[in-house]
Amino acid sequence: MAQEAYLRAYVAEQQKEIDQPKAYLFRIARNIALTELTKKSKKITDYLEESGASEVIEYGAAADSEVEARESLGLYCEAIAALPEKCRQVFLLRKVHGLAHKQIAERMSLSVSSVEKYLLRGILECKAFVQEHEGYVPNREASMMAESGRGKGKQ
Amino acid sequence: MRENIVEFPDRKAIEEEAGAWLIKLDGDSAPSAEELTSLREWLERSPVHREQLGSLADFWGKMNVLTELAVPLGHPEDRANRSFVESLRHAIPRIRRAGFVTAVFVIGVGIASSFWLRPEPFLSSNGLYATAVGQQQPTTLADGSVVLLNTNSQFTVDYDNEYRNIRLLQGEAHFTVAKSAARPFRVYAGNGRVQAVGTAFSVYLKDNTIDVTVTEGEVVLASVNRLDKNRLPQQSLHPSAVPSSGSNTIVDNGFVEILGTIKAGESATLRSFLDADTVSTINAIETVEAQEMAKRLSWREGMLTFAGDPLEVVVDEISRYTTVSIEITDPAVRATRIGGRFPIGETDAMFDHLEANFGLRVTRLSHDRVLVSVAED
Repeated sequence: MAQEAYLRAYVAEQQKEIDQPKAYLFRIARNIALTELTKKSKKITDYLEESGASEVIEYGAAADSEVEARESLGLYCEAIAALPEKCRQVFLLRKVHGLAHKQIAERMSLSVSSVEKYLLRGILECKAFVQEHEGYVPNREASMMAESGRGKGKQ
Repeated sequence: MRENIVEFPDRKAIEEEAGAWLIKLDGDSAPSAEELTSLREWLERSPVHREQLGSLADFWGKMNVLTELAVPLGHPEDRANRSFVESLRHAIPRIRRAGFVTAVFVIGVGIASSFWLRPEPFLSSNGLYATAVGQQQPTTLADGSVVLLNTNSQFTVDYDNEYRNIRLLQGEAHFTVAKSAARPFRVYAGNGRVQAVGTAFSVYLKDNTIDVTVTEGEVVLASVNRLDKNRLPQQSLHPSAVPSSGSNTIVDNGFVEILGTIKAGESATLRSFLDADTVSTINAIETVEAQEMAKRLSWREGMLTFAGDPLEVVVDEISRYTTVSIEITDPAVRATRIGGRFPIGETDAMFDHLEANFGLRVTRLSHDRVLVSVAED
């Protein structure tokens, strides 16, 4: 039961964080951002589904375990680090901090449409980066996918 | 428009269009009906279009894991760059990959110029704590009490010199209270109040009921009701305005009635009336056997345990931890008794179990909807 082991390790690790009271505020910040972004992702899939895209789209996001997600985190960081500065700032404010497009625009004194241009560039470049570096993804992800008998539908 | 022969598509151009759609859908305001119509048209152009947008949306969703790096944001005009990189390290204690460290530092420098960190409020643990769906989180408060927050839950902490006040706004939490006779520990949920000195208990706020289960020591249950109906529940129930002891005490804006005491191994359900001045009542106090207690609290170990519960109940419970919506249309299926122990978050393992052992079929209607029905032989 990989998930159970993982959860235990996670809880233990969180316990360690307690010596550092700063960690609380970070967790709150993280939860707020995550809740916001999860809601938005769900909406996006709803729109796509309503628009008849569901038969082709195989979403991995919901099926992936948290462990796999965490392993991708490093790769995403590298992808983002490769973005040009402004683009990176905008992208991080959206995907790390969960700020709305308008809030990012205000914070960075940009127009909303510029923010969206940066986000577009960000996601396309990150995706290309991740595809190029797919070898980085640890092998066990592949074996876990095979074990669970769940195809990724990405041929 | 249906084409049997699809021209060799320019994937790059399509991907860019897909990206533009995705960012539009990610925008602050919902897409208009017109936009949705043109989205539909766009998607109908070819399977490649659908695949590109689908895989970008998938990727976008996976990137939500980046919130692991979140730090509290301050005002954009002030800066405190130095503390930033240092604090980022606290935010990501699970550094596993060597390359990751470098990347984080590069990013750290990149965003440090756009905001600063509030340097002060780390001293106290007062504030709001929350978990997303499927997430669980322990928190140690300033006095050493530990709160384990279950999925999709929120609470606020308001400690002062006299009381340790917690308000459970949503969901479920288990409290292991550090002993401090001088400062009672009080959990407010709906219009119920659970008070302890040094003990362990869990509170689950669900619709109009508050379930309290005591694992150690004892707690005093009380109903807190407002006299002024025009006030918002949270204002009028502001914990510091309510006294800790004495029954039927009228204070400036609340009416506290002690309902009773429950001790370790017992569980009580309170009915909560947030919008009425009716007194809360204890629906039932029950003695919970050790086995049942372990089952009820197995979420604390990241497990869900079922012992012959109807599938309907099982699905309700599982649904608290996932954004996948599980549908059952057949009433006979709803009543199927289910037993088993599942790691939280492994919804798929549960579906496999249902198919293998209970003669049920689980059909994926879409990525976030499944239907449970009877398997046909």
